[in-house]
Formats: sequence, C-alpha cells, structure tokens
Amino acid sequence: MANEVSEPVLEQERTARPTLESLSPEFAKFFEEHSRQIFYLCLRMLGDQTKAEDATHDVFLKAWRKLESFRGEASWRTWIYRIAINHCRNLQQAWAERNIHTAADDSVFQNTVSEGASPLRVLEMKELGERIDRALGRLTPEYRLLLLLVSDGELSYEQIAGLTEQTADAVRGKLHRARKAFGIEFQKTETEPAVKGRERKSVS
Amino acid sequence: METAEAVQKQEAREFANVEEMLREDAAHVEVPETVKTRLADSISQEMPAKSGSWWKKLFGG
Repeated sequence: MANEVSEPVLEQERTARPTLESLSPEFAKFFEEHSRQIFYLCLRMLGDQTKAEDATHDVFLKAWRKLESFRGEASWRTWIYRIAINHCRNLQQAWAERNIHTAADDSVFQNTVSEGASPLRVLEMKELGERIDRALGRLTPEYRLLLLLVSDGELSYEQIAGLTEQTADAVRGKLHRARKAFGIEFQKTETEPAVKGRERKSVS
Repeated sequence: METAEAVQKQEAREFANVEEMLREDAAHVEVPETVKTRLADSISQEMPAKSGSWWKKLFGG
C-alpha cells in the first residue's frame, strides 16, 4: 500500500533531476575530460570501487566549490589532481589512524631486482585490474601515487614533482625504485590465488 | 569454436613497462554513471547558495 502512494512522488523526483550538462555545460565538459583519470587514481589509491566512486564525487564537488579560486597558474589537470591527491591522503590518514598495518622495508625492493627488469606479461587481461590493484596495494602510498601520476601520460616530471612536493630529480629516483618494486609485486600475483580486498600499506 | 587455451593465448599480452600497463588498465575503467548523477544532484543543491544573489533578485534585498 505504501508503495502505491509513494511511487508517483519518486517518479516526479526522478524526472525532475537536473543533469550536469543542464547545470553547467562547461563543468560537464571538465568532468568528461578528467573524470576517468581521477576515478582511476582514486580506485587504485583506495583499492575499493565504492570508495573510489564516493571520492570521485567528492573531488569534483570540491572542484566545483573552488572554481573561483582557480587562477590558471596550473593546468586544469594538475589542479584537479591536487584536489584528488589531498582527498585520498586524508581518507588514507583517517583509515591509518584506525588500523594497524605492517610496513615492509623498502630496501627489499631496491636490492632484489636487476636493472633490466623483464617485461610484464599478462595471460588473462580480465585479471589485469585485480592483479594491478594487489601489486599497487603492497607499495608505499608514495610509490603508488608516483606510478599512477606518471602513467597518466599528460604530466611532466616537473608537474608530478609539484603535485608531490619534491624535486623532479627526486621523482625520477623514486619512480625508478617504484617501477622495480611494482615489477616484483606484480610477478608475485601471477602465482597467487585471487583474493577479495587488498593488502594495504598504510600512510607513511 | 575457440578452445579455452586459444582464447587465453589471444588475451596474453606483454607490457614494456609499468606505465604502459597502467594506461591499459585505466583505459578499461569506466566512471559509473551514478557518480555524474550524484554530482549533478549535489551541485544543484549548492547552486542557489553559490550564485548568491537569487534571493536578492527574488526579494529585492
């Protein structure tokens, strides 16, 4: 009975919903241009689909609120990345305060792989995302972030350095170690059984 | 009809580096439409406050 009464109201609400395009065509275009990379960053930084969806929503809402403060000193891409990185860090910090993780020694990664790392081979493309997620989840948050930013392809080392508050040389050095660390962890995932959820390294 | 082994061979792929692999992964990730819908809802709720002057126009304040 209750359903019969509430249904017309719900239908009215649904049809009356505004779209992003109707609210602001410019912001809708901005969302279309950057949302995939921001969602991907959140997905792989946080390791959870639902949390990544929430984070992407929150990041773009923050961007909307801060639009007037954008002064054009950075590109739109780096500007939205900065908001996303801060948002993900805040979430991870909050989780780290509630959970205890064992942080592995990074020197393990630095000393166990030769310079010429073998190509990364994937037999099952459908498992790629899950294996990447597991491998990234075992890296330090900084290595994870650097790999995700450099894989964007639109950011220079200088822009990545600005986003992560360090020099471009430091970024290059850390990326070198991050690639090796990822290679080790990714290869491990080949023989491991698929697991639900991610082993995570906490914020350092 | 393709065997499971043949399908697996077709799907096998090598990546030269991590960036290439992550780019491939990102290319297959779609932003759920609900994110955009929720964002539109959230922004629509903030728009009167953001524009700031709707109530002035309405009430002549």
